[in-house]
Order: sequence, then C-alpha cells, then structure tokens
Amino acid sequence: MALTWTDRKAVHGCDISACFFDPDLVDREDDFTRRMLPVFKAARPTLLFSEQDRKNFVADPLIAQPDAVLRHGLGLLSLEFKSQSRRSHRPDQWQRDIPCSGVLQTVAAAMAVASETGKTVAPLLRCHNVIYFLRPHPELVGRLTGSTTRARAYWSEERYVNASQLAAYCEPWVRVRFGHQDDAQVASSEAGRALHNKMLRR
Amino acid sequence: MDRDFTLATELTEEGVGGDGRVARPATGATSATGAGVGPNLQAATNGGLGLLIACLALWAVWWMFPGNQRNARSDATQTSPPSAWPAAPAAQSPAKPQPDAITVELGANGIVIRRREASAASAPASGAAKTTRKTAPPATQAAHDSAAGPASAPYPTR
Repeated sequence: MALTWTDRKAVHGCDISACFFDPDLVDREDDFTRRMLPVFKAARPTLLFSEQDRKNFVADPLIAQPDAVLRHGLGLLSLEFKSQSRRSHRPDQWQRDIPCSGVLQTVAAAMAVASETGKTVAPLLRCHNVIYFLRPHPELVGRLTGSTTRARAYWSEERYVNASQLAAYCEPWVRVRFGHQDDAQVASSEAGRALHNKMLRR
Repeated sequence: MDRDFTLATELTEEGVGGDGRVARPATGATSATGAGVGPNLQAATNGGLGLLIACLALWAVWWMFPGNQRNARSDATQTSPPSAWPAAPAAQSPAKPQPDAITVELGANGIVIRRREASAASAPASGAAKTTRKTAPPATQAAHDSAAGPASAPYPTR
C-alpha cells in the first residue's frame, strides 16, 4: 500500500517526498513509530537502534550514527531528526525551509548504514512538523562518496569523517550544483545588499 | 567507502525498494554513480589502481635486489673509458635479468603488462620516477585539500 505524501519536489540534489502532520498531536504519541514516523498508517517498522545505543555505522572512512535505524520489510530506514528549535516548515514553501545540511547528513548516514548492512536503506529526515523521504540524485551520491577522503583531511580527522562533517564539506557544491537558497540566505543576501548600498551612497 | 550499497527509491507500508544501487566508487571520484555503466567502470578502475600499485611495489623490490651489482657496474663504468663497453661485452653476466624489461599500462580492460622493447630499456630510472611521482604523498594531498576547504569553494562549479 502506497504512503500518502503531501508534496514531492527536487531540492538540494534529492527528489524529496514530504508528509506534513500536526506536531502537537504526533509528539504526544508513546509509540516510537507513531511519534517519529507518522507517515506510516498501518506499518510498524521495528526499531533496531536509536541514538541512545550509540551504534556506529562505518563505510570507511565515513562513519555515521543515525538517530534511529529501523527494519522495514526487507530493508532498513535510516532516520535523522532535526527539530530546528521546533520551527515548523511551511507546506507551500517547505523547499525553502528544509535544511541543506540536514538533507546531506541524512543521505550520508543512510549510505553508511547501507554499506555496512548490505541492505536497501531509505533515508528519512524528520523535522518538527514534517517527515521527508529522500531519493538522492546519483550525482549527489557520487559527490558524497568521492569526497570522504578529502573531507577527512579537511577536518583533520585521522581515521573517520562523520556524516555531519561530510555534509558540511559538500554543502557549498550542492548549493552551486543544484542551486537553491533557503529563506535565511535570501534574507541575509537582500539585507546585506541593502546595507551595502546605504553605506556606499553618495 | 569499500562496499557497494543500495538506497531506496520507493517506500510503502510493506517495505523499502527501488533501484538506487550504488557501486563502490573510486577514491576521489566526482562523477555520477547511479545505476548503469558508470559504477562498474569506477569499480574496475579502483581495483585496477590497486593492482597497479601492487605491481609497482613488486617491481621496486625486484629492482632493489640486484641493485648492488648494478651500482657496482655503474661505478666501474664511471672510472673506465666509454670505449671499453664494446670491447668487453662478455664481462657482463649474460643471465642477469634486466629490471626494466616490463612495462605496466592501465588499459581499458585492466592492467596490461608488456615486455619492454630492447631499445627502450636504457632509461629505467626515469620511468620509475614518473610512476613514483604520480602517487602523491598523503601528507601533501591532505595539505592541498586543507587549503581548499568548503569555504573557498573547493570544487569546479558545473
């Protein structure tokens, strides 16, 4: 049975499906799946690891510790949770709200999980009022996998580079290649331009 | 990353699925690695480079083993007039192997090892040096990469 998604768009190098929900209702759920994966109506994926388990997934030199890993059918779900201080994403402009770094970190973590377990892994990003299913563009996956060694050197890590570091290293390339600015960047850019013009007026 | 992996492109109530299989990429690769021919080529290249390095290491060991005798012969050459070479060809050991008698090439179908032509066997040191320079020291690479971090847009744009 297909899942019900609110919207689907290409953002930050991923084909992303979004499912919005009421956080005030969902966050009160006791069941982990109902609380963290509200897109599922009937299925109850089995929680294998959560953040408390401190389970590392390694795809040398990439290392990741997803917020949760669940078994779902024959595959796995790799879940990252970014509350962003409980800031809600706008259903009509969520592509401006979804954090690029969070998207890349989610994909990188799923890559590590998939590589270590040998199973098909779905990258999921849970934010305050929405959950995203990420299908990364092959070029993005190639960039992430091909940048691990350089990212490790950039961050002066001896053994591993973690998913967050890899995401930060690749984020400028993603923004240029897949060209998208979120609202904070647009506002900052416009404010900066206005201030620049004001200070340099004659 | 040392293993192939698969990311889901479909998600249903029943499970995950899809064709997002990604082959192990070559280190430093930046091209697309989706399903298709690209991943196989990259994996082959990665394995080929490893085999190339192994061959070069074996060649280096082989080169060093008879090195004392070769160096001694070179020393003798420096003290003797050049005209002595054609006059005493029998002085050289006829069974001594030529350490540069093979070449290793990375072809489209993998590693190609050929016996080098006799005329090309006179400059082994330069060939070895070129090969050695191709593999930059890790420290140098790291320093280069550190200088070109994300803040300074380390990648070509499009």
